[in-house]
Order: sequence, then structure tokens, then C-alpha cells
Amino acid sequence: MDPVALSRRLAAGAVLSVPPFAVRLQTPLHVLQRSLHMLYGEFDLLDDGEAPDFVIRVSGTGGLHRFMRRQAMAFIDTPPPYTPLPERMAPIMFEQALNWCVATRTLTHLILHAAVVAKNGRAVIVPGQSGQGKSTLCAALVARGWRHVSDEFALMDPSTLAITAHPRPISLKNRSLEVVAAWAPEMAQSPAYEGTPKGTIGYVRPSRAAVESAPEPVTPVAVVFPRFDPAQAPALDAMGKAAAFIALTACSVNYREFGQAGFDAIGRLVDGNPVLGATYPDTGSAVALLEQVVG
Amino acid sequence: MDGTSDIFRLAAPSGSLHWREWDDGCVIFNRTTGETHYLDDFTAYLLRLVEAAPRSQDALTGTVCAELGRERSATLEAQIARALRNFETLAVLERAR
Amino acid sequence: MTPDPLLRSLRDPASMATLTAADWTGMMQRVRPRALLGKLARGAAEAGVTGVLPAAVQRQFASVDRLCAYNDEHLKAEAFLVLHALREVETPVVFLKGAAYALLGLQVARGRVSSDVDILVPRDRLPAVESALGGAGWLGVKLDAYDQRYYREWMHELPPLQHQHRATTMDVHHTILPLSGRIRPDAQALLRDAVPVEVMGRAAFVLQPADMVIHAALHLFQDGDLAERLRELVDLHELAGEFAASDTAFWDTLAERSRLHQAGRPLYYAFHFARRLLGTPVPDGFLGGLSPRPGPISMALMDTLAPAAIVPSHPDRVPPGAALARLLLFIRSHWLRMPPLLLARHLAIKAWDALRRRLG
Repeated sequence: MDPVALSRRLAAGAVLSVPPFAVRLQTPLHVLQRSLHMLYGEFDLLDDGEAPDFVIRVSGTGGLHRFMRRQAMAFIDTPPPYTPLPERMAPIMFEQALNWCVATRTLTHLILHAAVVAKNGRAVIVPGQSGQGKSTLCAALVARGWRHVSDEFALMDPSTLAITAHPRPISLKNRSLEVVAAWAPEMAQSPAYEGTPKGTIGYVRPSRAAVESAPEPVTPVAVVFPRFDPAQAPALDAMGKAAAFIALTACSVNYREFGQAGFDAIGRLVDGNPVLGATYPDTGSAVALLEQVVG
Repeated sequence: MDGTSDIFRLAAPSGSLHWREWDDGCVIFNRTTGETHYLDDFTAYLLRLVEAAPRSQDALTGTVCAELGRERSATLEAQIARALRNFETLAVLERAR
Repeated sequence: MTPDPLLRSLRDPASMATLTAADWTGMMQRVRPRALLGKLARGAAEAGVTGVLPAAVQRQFASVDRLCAYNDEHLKAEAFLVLHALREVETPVVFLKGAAYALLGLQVARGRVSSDVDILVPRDRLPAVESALGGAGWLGVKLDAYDQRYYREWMHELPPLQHQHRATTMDVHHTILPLSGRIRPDAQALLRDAVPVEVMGRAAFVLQPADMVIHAALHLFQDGDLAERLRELVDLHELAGEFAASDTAFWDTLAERSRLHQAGRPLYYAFHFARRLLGTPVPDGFLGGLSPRPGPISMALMDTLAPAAIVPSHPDRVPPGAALARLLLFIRSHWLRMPPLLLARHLAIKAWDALRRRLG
């Protein structure tokens, strides 16, 4: 879509298909409009009148703040849970706001904080809070032809354990940005935003293939907890199932709300699949380990 | 009273506890409270015994010693007392009145 | 038929099938923070129209259904845990509001998004109750000394308790309105006439139906701000509907209990607006039989102000009068709860705190 037309629609409020959701975004900020054009270039715009799952507005803050430093603020329908960032970081505000909506308002699926990647239809869940390497590993695998199912949230059906794809711009922080740029120079990255509360943040643009395959759910064949350690040789270790159970419930954002269905789902996930710890000193060996898991 | 003769029993109606057991421990889901708890092997074994039949701390210690071939000791008594107290706080067990 | 799509959807859920996508965009924003999404989801399901709604609305309804089912389980679990914590304390425990609705399995419990627990105990049991709950992990939310004292001297409840491991808050009441207010519900009668309910083998109580409705009505027009109150009006509408359907004497009992609890005026307002906004079938003569009733000037004022304050507006299009209406009604609710001098002091101290926080 032509960037000028997109900007015009975003200024008035455009509805973006971010599978499996419809997201209405309204923003007058050029920095976010441009970033949407880049990062969501392969996603579809829906009719402006389409009913959305989430309504997000990102705008400059008014009042005195404006004159001191221009800031961006995301508004959802309830008071947003974060502080404004400088206006140039509006794309980060949008990603945070959308993550918040997905994590707090989606109870159609049991959600794990995890990346999900698949090769030849064999999907691996890579759990982890931000900063533990799941996004870096996700980007590295996607660059080698793996399917980008999800980079932040695994949306799992509690009865079938099937995972609904939710590909989004892959968020990379600090050193990961250089690691991924060196590993896959051809992958499109957003500008790096320096000086955020979490350091420097940048995003990888999802491919058309990721967006087109999104309607097809995947079934996990393994759970792999990543551990980057430059001092260790690459290794895959089986984790205890009880320990894995605890770790998975801890990285779920809505385990409680599912009650016994959540307990059964996580139990079946760890019973039915190998649960491994992958220790690796660099990206190349990480990718090799994951190839071994699905091989 | 030292409470060792109080009878402990499940606090929730029967069928509330759902178990998953593995080599490295087990987890239970208590449907009555909506809570999930991790238990090590020994604590899980104690709960299994009380689940099978309500009993006092004293009787429980006796069973443990007989089944596991252990000597009654202050350490063992304290370990069992602590487990029972934790289960009581979590509303998994209660003292029969 | 009312033109507001939200009120129309609540009154006649089948009409949701005719809403446009643009109607939904506005509606979803209006109902989210007011916790009414669950009521719409339930209404659509019961009217059999969920399947024809936009896909995003269906997804959000499915999610809120799960949330409501969880809240229902959660409230019952909390009730069980409260009774477990109080097992050594000689006291009746009366569950109020959401917990009571869930324990009784009332219609109003379905699609209700609130998970706070409220209990009522005799005033002389408060210290024992507070200490037993503290032992089980319910600890007082940190308050400054003034707020602590305000709660203990003037309010009808302990400062809110929060469980140290579970994300649950609980209010422990000894009556259902602040001691400082001019309406004094008969706390002894509330306890005396409470109805037994079994919570997984443990004995507890809930208010008798008329008192339950009076409590909801007092809450609606006496308590806090009105901005989030359409949900409470819906509660009232559903409670009265269900009780009246099973007991033909319900409205008479309600009028009688309202005299005992001095609740004529709030009950009048509550059912006046429930009828006007939601179409509650209030029998002819019920409102006229209440005493005391609001005078004509109060009534005219409320008739003008309340609907704008009760019915949530679109976040981007707040009508000019709504903010003022909410402010006036907020002051009014405080005025009803406290003697004027105390109110002035309270508001002044709160204002000073807010200023200090801003400067600090």
C-alpha cells in the first residue's frame, strides 16, 4: 500500500489484520505511520468500518510536556498501564499496547510467553521472558527458512494443544540487534530506537509467508528452553517434567483463568512432548540444536 | 495441647485434588481453591496417606516409619509437622473437630 | 425503544444482530472499562445471535465468557478460603454482592466481571476476624495514618485486605453503609435475617433477597462515583427480576425492609432509573409506596444529571454535561456519607495529599 494513503487512513483510524486479531489503530504521528508501513507492510488492511478486537490510539501528549520533550502515549479504552515514551519511540508504544491487549484480553487461548517456530510442519515452543534469547533464536531460525509462527505469545488451544499463529515484528534488544544483523543481513530491520527503558530496541519485519500461513495452526512436537552461555559447549538436556510444568505455568499469562483445563493442558503438553534445555554459545550452534530437535 | 493427636483430613470435598506425578516431583491442582501446588516426593507421599484415610500427626508418623523402615526421630517429626501445617495454610488439609 | 445502542443491547440482546461494525467499535470501547462486556456476551448467547456478530466481537465475547466463568469459580474458591481461615473464630460470615450471587447461582452472577470479595460480620467480631484473616495471608493494603483512621472511625468496613500470595482483595464490613452517613441500615436485622448457604460443606450466610437488593441500591446511589454504575444498575435489574419471579410478595417485602433500613430514597432512585433505562418491570405503586421519597427538586436534579453519569459515554465523545454531572454526583455521594464538617475536612486532607504527591 502507498505510504501516503496509509498515513491518511491511520490518521483517521485504520483496521489492521494482525492474525488472529483485528486491530484498530488511530495515530497522527508520522513516525508511527512510517514504521507501520515498514513493519506491517505484509499485513492486510481491513475495511475501516470493520469491528476490531482492540482499539488503540497513539498520540502526542498534550500540555506542558509538549514543549519540554515531545512524547507519545498509547490509549486503549482503559487507562494504559505504562508511562509515555519520547515521540520518536511511538512504534514501541504501539507494540507494547498491542502486547498488553493480547495478554490481558485473550482467553480464547492459553497464552505462554514463548516464541513458536516450525520446520516442515514440526513446531517447537521456545518459552522465556524477554531478554532470555527466545526472540533472537526466533529471528535466527526464521532467517534459515523456519516458519515464523509467533515471536512473543504462543496462543494454545487448551483442549487440542494446537497453536494459533500470531506473527508480529520480532522485537530485538541491544546486542541481539547486531547478532541478527550479522547472521542474516538480508532480513529487514526497523531503525534501532536507542535510550528506551530496556536499552536499544529494534524490530524484524515479518515476511509475507509468515502472514499468509497465519490461518494454519501448528501442533508442537517439543518445548525448548533456551540458554545462551558463551562459556558452554552446545548441549540439549532433558528437563524434569515437574520442573518443566512449573516453568511453563510461570511463563503463562493466563494459566489461572483456565482452572483445571489449564492444569490438564500444560500436563498433557509436558507429558506428550520432549521438554529440553538448549545451552548454546552462539547463534550457529543454537540453530543447529533446534534443527536436531525437529530432525 | 501439642496438636499431634488432632485428626487431619482433606479440607475440600473428595475429588477436588487432581494429581500429576513425574520422576522429579508432582503437581496437584486443587479445584476447590483453584490453586496449583508443587510437591516433592515425600510431601506428596504424606498427602496420599491422609487422602487415603484421615489420621493424626502421630499416626501418620507411625505409618511412615513402618512403610519406609525409618526410625522415629525429632527431625522426621518436625518434617511431617511442617508439611501438615503448610497443607493446612493452603486449605488442602484441615483438623477434624 | 431507546436510541442508545448500548441500552438497547442490554434491554433487547437480539437487537445486537442489527448493529453495524461502526456501532461495535464504539460499543466495545464503552463497555470494556465498565465491565459490561460479559453481560452483552451472555445476552447475545441467550438470544442466539452470537453467530451472526462480527468475528472480532465473537472472539472478545468468547474471552469474556471464560473470564466470567473463572470469576465465578474464583469467588466460590475465595468464599471457601475465607471460611477455612475463619474456622477457629466463633462468628457468622455473611457473603455480600458478587460472592453471594455466585454461591447462590443467581442469574445476575452470569456474565458478571467482578471478582472482589465482600463479607459482613458482627462488629464485635471484627478484631478476631481481622487477626484470623491476617494469619491466613490477608493483609491490610498499606494506607497512611489518616486513611487508616478514617476507615476505622467512619467507614463500614476494615481497610481493604489483600492476599499476600493471591491477587485478591477483600472488604470486611460490619454494616452496609458508612457509620458517618445519615442513612443507618439496621445491621442487626441484616445479620439476624440472613439466609444460610453451604460453601463446599461449610456453613455461611447471604443476605435475604430484599436486603440483597437494598444493599445493591445503596451501593449504586450512595457509594463512590457513579461513572461505572450502569453495571450495578444491571445487577439490580436482574436481581429484582429473578426474586420477583419466584416470590410474589417480593416487592412488598422490599418496601417493608426499606423502611427498616431507612433506604426509601436510594431504592426510589435505583428503581426509577432501572425502569427508565433498562425497562425493569417495577409494579405500579411500588415507588409511590416508598418512604422517605426524594422531593421534587432532588428528583428533577437527579433526572437531569444521573442518566448522563450512569450510561458510559464514548471515550472520544464525552457529552459536555457528563463530566460535570459525575462531579456533582460524586460530591453528593460523599455528602450523603458524611456530616458536612467531616466532609470538608476529608476533602481538604485528600486534596492536600494529592498536591503533595504531585509536588513530591
